[in-house]
Amino acid sequence: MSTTYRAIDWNRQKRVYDGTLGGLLALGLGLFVGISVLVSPNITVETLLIRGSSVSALLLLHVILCIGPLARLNPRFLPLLYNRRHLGVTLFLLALLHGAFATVQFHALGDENPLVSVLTAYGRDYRVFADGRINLPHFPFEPFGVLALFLFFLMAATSHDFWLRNLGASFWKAMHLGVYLAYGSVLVHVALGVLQSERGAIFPGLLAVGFVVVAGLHLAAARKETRIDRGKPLGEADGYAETCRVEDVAEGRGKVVLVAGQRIALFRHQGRIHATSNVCRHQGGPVGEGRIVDGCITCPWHGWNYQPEDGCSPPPFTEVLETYDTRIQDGRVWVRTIANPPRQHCAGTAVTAT
Amino acid sequence: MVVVVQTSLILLAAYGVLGLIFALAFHGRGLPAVDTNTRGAGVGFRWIITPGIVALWPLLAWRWRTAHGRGSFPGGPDAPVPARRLRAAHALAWKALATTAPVIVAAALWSRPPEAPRSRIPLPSPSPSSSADSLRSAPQNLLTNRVRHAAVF
Ligand code: HEM
Ligand code: FES
Repeated sequence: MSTTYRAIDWNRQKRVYDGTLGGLLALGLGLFVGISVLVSPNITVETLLIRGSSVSALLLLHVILCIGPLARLNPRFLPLLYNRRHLGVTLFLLALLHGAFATVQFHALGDENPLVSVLTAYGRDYRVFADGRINLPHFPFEPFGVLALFLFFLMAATSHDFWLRNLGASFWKAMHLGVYLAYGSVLVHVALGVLQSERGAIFPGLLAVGFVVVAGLHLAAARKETRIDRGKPLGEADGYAETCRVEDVAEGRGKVVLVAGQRIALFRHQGRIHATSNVCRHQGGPVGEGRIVDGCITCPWHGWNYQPEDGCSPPPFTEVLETYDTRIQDGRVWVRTIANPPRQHCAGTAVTAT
Repeated sequence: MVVVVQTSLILLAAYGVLGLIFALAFHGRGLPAVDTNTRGAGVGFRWIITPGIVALWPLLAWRWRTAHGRGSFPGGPDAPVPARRLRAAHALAWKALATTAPVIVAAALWSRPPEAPRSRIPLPSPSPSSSADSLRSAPQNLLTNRVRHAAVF
């Protein structure tokens, strides 16, 4: 976008979002502390802090990982996606609290630099084979926590749109795929750490359920995505490709179609059909799943606007979406396979002109 | 091992110090040069991007250079979002995660010793004074904690 940056562009939606997040976290932590104190009355404050922060961070990580596919599967979850960067920053802060307290508690008592100790303490006496079997129970598990914390830091530190714009969406998005590496590291951190000393089945069970839910949702969303890209090719003539029926594009609504293997967004606005690229200039959100709001195409993810006639964001913003010529033939929308020059005015096709 | 870790931490600290110095310069002259939207931006915005500047300063230095017309920076504000490539990368990341994570966790569970590993760790010396002592006491400290609160899980 193109207005002066602010630390956080507060609006009502974000306040509600952050308020809910804070409330749920406080509730979860309160429950955790309450149950822990009831179950083991002589639990120390340090342990409560280490465990409360790590467990809530792990929970939040699962929520974060589910939001993407949930929003792909059902638009009702879109409000969760809107401000998820605040979830990421909160996750990092919780994980930092956990890592810092764990380091102080377990590594700060000797003369050695605590950071060196975190990275080497378990590794020093470690042997791959012990007692005739692979010695996983003593595997150094803390470095995996450090790796995850480092990745969470990178993602949290670059969550402002300033970074998205200046590192480029491609690099920024790729860097944020690091969340999966971080998730894998956390799984190893927990499996080789706390699961080796806690004998119960509850924690491994919860971890497995979490993984199945996160993976299952991603699989379902991926199937939906491939179905979009596998749409059977329809007719093509004079540089135009046949797409859906005119009725499939409701007034004020968008529709994603395939044109020469590319996803294109169709919109009907004031009785005219317009076609634009489906890839939002912000974070690549699916423009065609959005709507027309106040005469502008509005991306479903974070609400960036584009004018249907020329793909330009309304001033003072400067982003431009590619537009495509359209025509209507036998009740079907045909879209030109080559984009118009940027910013070119394109009136769209009146629906009655069949 | 310890030497490698110590050296890496020193290098990391040096990188961070350079990053801090860079951040000062960048806040002074770099921001308006690379991104006009930062003109008139407040102190809150400056604080919020500073950790990232310290961490990613070589990238920003590169971007700053290209803002003066020297060389080119891949990506940048006007580069298209490669939606297809990102989807493919996303799928690849999941395939890697879905195949490795369950195997590692299953192996870790399967290899849990019959009794808690604390029995294998020597008792700590009462007050850790040398680094060797502190090392042993660290896991012990950890494990007494774990045992004390095992009931939570
Ligand atoms: C500097 C980085 C980290 C260090 C030094 C560290 C250290 C530790 C230690 C020593 C334990 C065992 C605590 C106990 O048994 O009472 C632990 C457990 C755990 N860690 Fe970490 N950790 C780090 C980062 C992370 C991160 C980034 C996460 C991600 C959310 C995480 C999640 C957990 C979880 C869920 C547990 C099990 C519950 C618990 O015992 O607290 N850790 N960590
Ligand atoms: S992706 Fe953020 S508004 Fe479109």
